[in-house]
Amino acid sequence: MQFVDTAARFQALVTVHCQGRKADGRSPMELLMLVATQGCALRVIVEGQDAQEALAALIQLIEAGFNET
Amino acid sequence: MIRKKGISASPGVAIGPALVLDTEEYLIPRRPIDPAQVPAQIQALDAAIETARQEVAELRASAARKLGEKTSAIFNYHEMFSADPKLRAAVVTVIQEHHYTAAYAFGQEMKRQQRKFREVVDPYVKERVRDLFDIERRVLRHILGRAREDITRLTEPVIIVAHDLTPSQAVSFNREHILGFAISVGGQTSHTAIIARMLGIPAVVALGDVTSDVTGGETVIIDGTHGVVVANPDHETIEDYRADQREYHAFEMELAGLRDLPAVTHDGVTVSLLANIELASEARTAMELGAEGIGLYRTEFLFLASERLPTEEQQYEVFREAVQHANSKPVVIRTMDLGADKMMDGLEFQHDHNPALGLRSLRYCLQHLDMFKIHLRAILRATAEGDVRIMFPMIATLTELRQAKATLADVMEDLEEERVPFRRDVPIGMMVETPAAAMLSSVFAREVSFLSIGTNDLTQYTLAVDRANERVAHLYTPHNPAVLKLVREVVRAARKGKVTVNLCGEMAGQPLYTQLLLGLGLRQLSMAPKDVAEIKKMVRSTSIEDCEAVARKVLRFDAGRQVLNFLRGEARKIMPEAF
Repeated sequence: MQFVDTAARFQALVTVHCQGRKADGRSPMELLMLVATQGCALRVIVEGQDAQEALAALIQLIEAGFNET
Repeated sequence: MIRKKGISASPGVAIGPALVLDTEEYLIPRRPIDPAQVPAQIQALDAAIETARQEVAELRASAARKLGEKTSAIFNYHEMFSADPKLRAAVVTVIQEHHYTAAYAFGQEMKRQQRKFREVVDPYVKERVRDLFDIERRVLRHILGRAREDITRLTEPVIIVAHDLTPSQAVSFNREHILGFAISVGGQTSHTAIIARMLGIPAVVALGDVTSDVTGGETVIIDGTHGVVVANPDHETIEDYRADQREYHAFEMELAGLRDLPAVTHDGVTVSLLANIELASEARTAMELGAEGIGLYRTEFLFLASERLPTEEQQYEVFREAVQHANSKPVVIRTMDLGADKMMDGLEFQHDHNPALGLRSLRYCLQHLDMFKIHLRAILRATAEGDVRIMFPMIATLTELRQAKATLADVMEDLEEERVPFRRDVPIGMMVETPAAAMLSSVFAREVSFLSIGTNDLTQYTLAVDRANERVAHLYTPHNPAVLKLVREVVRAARKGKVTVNLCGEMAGQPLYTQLLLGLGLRQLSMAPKDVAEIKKMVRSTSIEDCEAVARKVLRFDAGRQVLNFLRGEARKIMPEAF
């Protein structure tokens, strides 16, 4: 999962929210458990030293469109 | 703490560490480690995870080369999960706080994650749990290195937890170290259940996916009497079950005291209590538990336990062993009763639409004379070793019986020509387990030396119920008046025809029915070795006069329910603690 790879590059803490549940952006298991099926509105919160860069990178990835099934 | 309900396969309570058999049969010890070893364990964990991750990366690369990028993507999750930092962090925490080994901690954490995944509704996500199983195995293999313990060389008592056990596995365990069995599949008559009862250890089967809910080394409680398994029980639960264990043990001790006492009623009538066995070695256990002989030696197990058809020599050796264990007591060997649920690969087998009514058992034998003759040769040779009798199963017509006897006569002639020793006047009998045989038992009584009532199948055929079909199994009742009428018919026919008769179905070993069976005129009962003591207690606690009164009353009822309630009341009067 590119999301996890991208998040792992930075120091910042990445949390993904979906329908009231949350997952650590660096844990593929937690993200999968989040059951973010297509169309579910994701909210990504980034905190920490390089938060800005991390957020930028993630946005770029999302806008480029995952081919996650 | 997880409580699971299955089917009770063998009574009693066992409490002990689990040995979970997955396909690679790892024994993961839950031995606490010295706090000073924690860093080393964490290192071992990291090393194993890294090696596993590399392995998968290589697998993925190789898959990409051979099958293309898209297919190799199936390893994506696998690789990612292995490297999941939160997973590692959780395992490390367990190691640090509980001082467990890396293997045990990892196994526990993986089981926890697997449980979470299986609770998710989304099927796609749920499927990913398989990746977790793979990772668990892969990483554990690396943590444990070459230290995979051989399951046949157990050093401490364990409870075996498995999806299923093959007959050879089940018999290969060192029995001193088995406290009990918890099996995912199976039923009361599956071989694990049979062996557990023979060994006298608690067992629960049909638990569904039990191996995913138990971690190797974890404490597990087996309540074989009620069909319950508790994984990782809390203190209170353990104490409750220990109390149960003590009670059950006391009851067993009491029964053991009856071993050498005769099975005689208050009014001086002797009842012969015999044993049903599947394995040659059971014969010895049966004698030790007070049986006066083997009323039914089911030979099919011999065929099921090996991959190929056993040779004449192999069969003969096994029969001889059984006869020797019986120590000059009678042994009734039943010719193979394979079919329906019990078919094996070595034999030519075509699926019947209605297996219970199809080409099975003796019918199969009569259409495969080569195999049947070899089987009969082995049995006949065993007659030279002790008091052996031969019995044919599933007879429905006189023709079948005569054909079987004729085949036996042929084999006898062959053996004589070859000068192989055997007993020419070996007593020949038959199972009465079809309604036809029961109704015409007076005719059959003229052609055999003894009759054996097989109420298991007789009930099935009479009530037209498949007891293995859980949708109708509740209709299967051996105490149904129709079945009882047939039993009485057979006993009468045997008396008139002056042949011996016994009952070898499950009913024989259930104290609830003892008075009824004695009242119907039976003086020989054959049951699982474990039940001999309890039935003996019933026999010694009643009189034939009372039993006949019970039978008379029962035969006037119209419905099985009335019979059951009445019998319960009567049994409670004699043995309140068992009812």
